[in-house]
Amino acid sequence: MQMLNGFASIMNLPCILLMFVGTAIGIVFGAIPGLTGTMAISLCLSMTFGMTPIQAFCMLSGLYIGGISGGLISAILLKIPGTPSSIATTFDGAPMAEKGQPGKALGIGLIYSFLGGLLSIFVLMFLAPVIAKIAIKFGPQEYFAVGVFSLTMISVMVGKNPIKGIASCVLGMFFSMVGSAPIDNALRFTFGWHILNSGFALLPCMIGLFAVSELLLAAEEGIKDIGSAEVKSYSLHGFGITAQEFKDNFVNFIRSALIGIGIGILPGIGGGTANVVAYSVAQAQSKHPEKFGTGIPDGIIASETSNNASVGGAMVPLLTLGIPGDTVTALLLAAMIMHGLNPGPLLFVKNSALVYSIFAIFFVTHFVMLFIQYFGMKEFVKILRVPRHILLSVVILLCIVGAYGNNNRISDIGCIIFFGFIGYLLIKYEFGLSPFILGFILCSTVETNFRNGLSYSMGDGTSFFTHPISAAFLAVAIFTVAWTVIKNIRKKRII
Amino acid sequence: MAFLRKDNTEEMTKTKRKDVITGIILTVFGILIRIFSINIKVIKTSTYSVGSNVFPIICADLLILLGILLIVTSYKKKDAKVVNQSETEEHPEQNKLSKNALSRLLITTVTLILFTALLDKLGFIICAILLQFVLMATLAPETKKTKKDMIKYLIISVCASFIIYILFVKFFKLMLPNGLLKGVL
Repeated sequence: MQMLNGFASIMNLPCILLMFVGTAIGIVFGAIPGLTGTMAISLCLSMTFGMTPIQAFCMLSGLYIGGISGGLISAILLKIPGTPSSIATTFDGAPMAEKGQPGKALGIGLIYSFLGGLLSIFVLMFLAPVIAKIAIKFGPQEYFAVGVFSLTMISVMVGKNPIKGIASCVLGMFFSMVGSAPIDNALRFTFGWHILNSGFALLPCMIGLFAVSELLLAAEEGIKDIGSAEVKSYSLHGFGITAQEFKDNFVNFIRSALIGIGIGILPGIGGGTANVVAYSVAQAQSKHPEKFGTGIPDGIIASETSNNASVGGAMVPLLTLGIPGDTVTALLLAAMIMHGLNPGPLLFVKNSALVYSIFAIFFVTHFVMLFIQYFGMKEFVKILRVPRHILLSVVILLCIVGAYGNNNRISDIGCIIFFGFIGYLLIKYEFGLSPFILGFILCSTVETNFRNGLSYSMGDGTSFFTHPISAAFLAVAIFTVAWTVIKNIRKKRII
Repeated sequence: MAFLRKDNTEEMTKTKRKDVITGIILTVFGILIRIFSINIKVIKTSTYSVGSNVFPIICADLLILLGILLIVTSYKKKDAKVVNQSETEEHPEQNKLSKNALSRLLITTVTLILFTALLDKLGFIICAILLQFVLMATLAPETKKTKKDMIKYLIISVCASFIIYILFVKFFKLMLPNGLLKGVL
């Protein structure tokens, strides 16, 4: 019943229209290499100020799903993944296009993006309320443990060097500490600058880290003239997949979807990791692994199913615990806070109507995505031909407007430039952006709950280990760090 | 082959040097945070909990530790010549900042900073046109810097700035500074 109410709440013209607009913009950002869905959301956030939360989510979910799905266009037609989520799509999508079947590659990518995403939304609908019911009993100890668990997972799992991953996370934590401290409002690291009293706002920080850093990297590396690069022509009839191929790949589809959902739920990693993992698992489990990379449907199915499936997965910890599963959901968290919502288990009690509307929005947006991409593919392919230096300049201006519009403060523009530089350095020195962002977002959760936990237990530090859920999460966190250290030591010994 | 190995070793020492430098920076940063943490006022809101200075101190100590670890591990990599080949091969030119790259980076940065500084005085439209034009002209590939291209960039900058201004101010009800054009718009 609640689900039906959810659907009813979004079946009006403004909502449907916003879904279409959001998805179309998302696909454009996803399709153009160098622009990502995360960037699209960060600059469109300012447009949602005047909307109701449901309308805002219609647009944002469109941007999210469009951003992840759009990557397949350039992955197949240009041989360059439009977003990190489509890296593995190039492995088989591009060869298939070269063999003269670009239409089939696009069709398969499209239909499996849709199916993978839809399946993950079903899982989200059933899993999230259950987890929320458990999470409602969480006290500060549990939240502290989940926060620490998330921070260690992301630091260790992203990038080649866990030391750099953890350092990036700690740096993020430091920058979030600037300003008033939680609980007692003591000023930290403001150096007498009143403008820093409220700390760095999340939105300018994210825009800087994602968009401005991309501009600086492009400035350093230079933009190549791809005007002459060939964008393959294609024709799209149906979805290009035969019933037999569908049947043969059913196990592959379910497995890739589960991988996507699982990786999405884990904090900090999303579609960017899921597609590569699903592709390699599909290859390892296949009866004909040697054919991978030559342009077979299996590879495209694994990659495109898993990256869209990560959407539903990443929404689970965001809605139930208020902990973002990847960088896009980190922005959705910012959006929810901006609209006066506090994601977490209480959301399911206080705003359950909204939660079911969000489920419905994500569900319907997948249909919108399929529709727009199927019928509008020709237009998106045209946009691939717009030179990147022009696009990037316009995008930066939009980002600046987005950052300024948040609070009408010029200092926020300074803030995006500052964080743009930090992002640029972090990428250049291979520290990884996601640990920094999660550190930035989760630091106050971890700190507040640590201090509250100590207060509640009358200063007894062991209470973090005597609460069973908290103890389990902390144990996994400690185990992950220990395991990584041992693995690294062993690797060195073998050498 | 011998030539290749020499190249790789050179690359490796570069990555190593880079890691050592970042390690040192992290450590120094950690020490600085540690020093500045002394100034944080400790207000005891609860007899049992800790003050606001504890987390910054933990962060600072972690950074110092991680910095030292990074330096130590990168020194140990000295023996691991073969393993690092694939890693270094992926980014062979990462550390070389050519003159062109540096000038592009510098122009971009200065433009962004000037934009921020002048936004209030000149107003959004003028600043936006200048910012976009300079960025397009700087970032354009060498083959796309003819006079004709520049005129094209100027037209795009003017159009994009006006469209964005109208879109945000009229439709999304955002306030953008008018500056010199106050009264005109």
